[in-house]
Amino acid sequence: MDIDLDKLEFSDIIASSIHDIKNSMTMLLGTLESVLDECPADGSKQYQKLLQIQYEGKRITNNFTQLMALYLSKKGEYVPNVSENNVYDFLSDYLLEHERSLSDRGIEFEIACDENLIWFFDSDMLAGVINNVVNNAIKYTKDKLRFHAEVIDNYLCLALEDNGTGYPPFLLSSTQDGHVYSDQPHRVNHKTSNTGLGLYFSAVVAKLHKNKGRSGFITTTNEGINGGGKFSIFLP
Amino acid sequence: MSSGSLKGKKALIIDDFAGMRNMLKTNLQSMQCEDVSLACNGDEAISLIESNYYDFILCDYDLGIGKNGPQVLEEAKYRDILPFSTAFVVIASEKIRTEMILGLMDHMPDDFVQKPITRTILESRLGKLFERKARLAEIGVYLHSKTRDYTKALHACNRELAAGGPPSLELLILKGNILYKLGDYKGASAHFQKLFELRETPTIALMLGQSLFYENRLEEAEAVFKKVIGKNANYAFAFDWLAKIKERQGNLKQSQQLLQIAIKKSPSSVPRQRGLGEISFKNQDFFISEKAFQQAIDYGENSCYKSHVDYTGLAKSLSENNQPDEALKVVEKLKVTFADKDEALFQAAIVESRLYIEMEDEEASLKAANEAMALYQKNPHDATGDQAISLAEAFLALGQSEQAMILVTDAVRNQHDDVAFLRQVSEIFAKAGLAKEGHALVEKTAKVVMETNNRGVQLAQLGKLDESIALFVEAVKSMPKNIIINLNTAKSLIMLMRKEGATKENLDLAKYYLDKVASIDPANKQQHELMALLRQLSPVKIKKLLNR
Repeated sequence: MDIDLDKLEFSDIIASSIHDIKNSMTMLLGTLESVLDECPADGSKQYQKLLQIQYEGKRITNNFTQLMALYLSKKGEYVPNVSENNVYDFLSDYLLEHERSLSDRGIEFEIACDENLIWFFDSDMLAGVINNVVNNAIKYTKDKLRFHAEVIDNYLCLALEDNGTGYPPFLLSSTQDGHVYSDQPHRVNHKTSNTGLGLYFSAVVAKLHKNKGRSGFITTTNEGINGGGKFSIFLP
Repeated sequence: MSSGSLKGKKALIIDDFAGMRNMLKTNLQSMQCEDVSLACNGDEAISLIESNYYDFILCDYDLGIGKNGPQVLEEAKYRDILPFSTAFVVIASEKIRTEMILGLMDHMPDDFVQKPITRTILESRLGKLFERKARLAEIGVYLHSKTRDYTKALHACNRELAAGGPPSLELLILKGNILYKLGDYKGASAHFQKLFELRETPTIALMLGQSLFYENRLEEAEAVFKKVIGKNANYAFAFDWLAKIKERQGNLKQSQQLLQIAIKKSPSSVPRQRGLGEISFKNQDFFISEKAFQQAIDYGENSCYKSHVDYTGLAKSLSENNQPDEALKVVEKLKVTFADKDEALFQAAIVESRLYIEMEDEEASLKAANEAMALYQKNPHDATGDQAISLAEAFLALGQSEQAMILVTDAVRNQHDDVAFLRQVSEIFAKAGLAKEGHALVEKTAKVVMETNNRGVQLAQLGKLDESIALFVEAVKSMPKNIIINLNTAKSLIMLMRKEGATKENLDLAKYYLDKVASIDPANKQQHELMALLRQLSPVKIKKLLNR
């Protein structure tokens, strides 16, 4: 199909570029994965550097995924494809994704979740959320991560706790009339390179999950391990 | 690193980009999946799928020139070459995935994966698909073309549901789909209603709305689809169904508007463009119909939905828009594209003969009309009533009323109680100055059909069921599309089985006639009632018969 670039909105141009960049990222990360396979996991400096490349590569990818999702959601074209999922399997799959990064940094992690817990959500969307929070937690935790999943008041609550220093105040949920709100884009803090975009994305994903008149939401508190950060997403 | 869950699996990778194909292959091989085939375009993929079994297929959405990923899946399913047990995964961007979900296409892949595809994700997704396919394996056998048996599929489904554990939503949806396929729309709508109360997913909404539609509960169906749109106005499929509801209610204008909305949201569906073409043509909105049929042709180029009806639709629209030369070009293209398809050539010849009448070239028109007639006589029962009338009208304009009479007699036999159709027949004769002859023909033909039918019904009422069945089976041969005759044939068969017990032969025969009615008029109320009777009959009576 021919596209007249002059007529495109800038956001559309970015969107189609991202599509192409993602092809490159697939090649890059895929090739990297086979290089890592061939490399002895000996903690050598080279190996460390490769892991660093992989970590940053995944961050770039997550950022692009979020950008695309937010671009589509603004147009009402980001739609959940809800299916039933085993929550424990889902969480362990996505933690496995980060296994190398976690063990390399000496981060202990555990999943507290009934192995038979089934819930309804779009697993691709949730994967974006999980990847994002795990990536962040890896960056900010001291040495522990804990996933926790249970059903509370007919919502699935997925929470990730760390034992770092906790969220800065401007990223914490606000509390109004007994409810916690985190669905506004936070102010961008260029100094810490923390845009809050990841949280905004998570809030969008949560909100898109609707059932019987109720929508999902997220909260961020400092009630994690030893006052560390705690991110929770609630899905009806 | 790898748990080896892909060990021994056969895989097919479809991607137009060699680098990506090879990387995926390396990735799969590192997961101990050794048997990996590669295809670089849709046609190559289709021929591989046709001659090999694969446990899973990874197909990129964008395959460059030719078919795209979903079109490969569509064609494989359409041609019934994809076993139920094969997992078909489409690699698609978020945007494409959303488009497919919003369109809720008939042929959804088993799963989507997004780039970048990592090994862990691939392994876990495929592992889950294999588990799911294994769980549904028995049901899958009964859904597959060669061994299709929906009744057995339903029993297998019920067994699986009774096997304990929390019922999976997927299995429940599958059960509803089977009820729907069995033509038990009442059972299906009740089933999906319950699921809808549990989870308002678009898939459940679609199935619920569809079942209600065929049950003729149009207002309720409308409410369901409106609810879907209330959640997200981009769900094109909901507009499609609202359009169908309006059409059924006789509101063609509104139906067209709804389809135009759906097209705006999701233009690439061939059936949707065709639907708009047909309805706007009926509304005499020929500019819209011209555009829609043209789009249907363009989007259909690589699709299994490619059909000659879009060409005839376009040609007729062009003719109405005073472009007979362009219309003729379309007909020529049709003849070349579908050279080996009689049905297509038949329709092409009809349109051609009518175009030449408009262009006042009687000789060329007669030549085309005779070609059409020759094709008609090869398979007279394949023609629809509208086609027969259309050709008859051409013959009448050319002063060949005997040919027109033959065509119309056959058509009236099939639709003797369709008032609108009979009026149309009378009109074309009146236009040719033969009002009296036309009227007499309709009267006479319809009378013969009615007398035959009444005789068959009387015999059945007198308890002479064998004679009634013999009479109907003979009658249906000369009017295979007559709904009443088909229904009454099935009815006599059912009465016989209720009296003397069911035999497999008679069960199949009754189902054959009822299926035929469903293919002509899926919402036929009497058909549904007889189908319900037939279902009651099958298992119990057969058992009795076996025990005797």
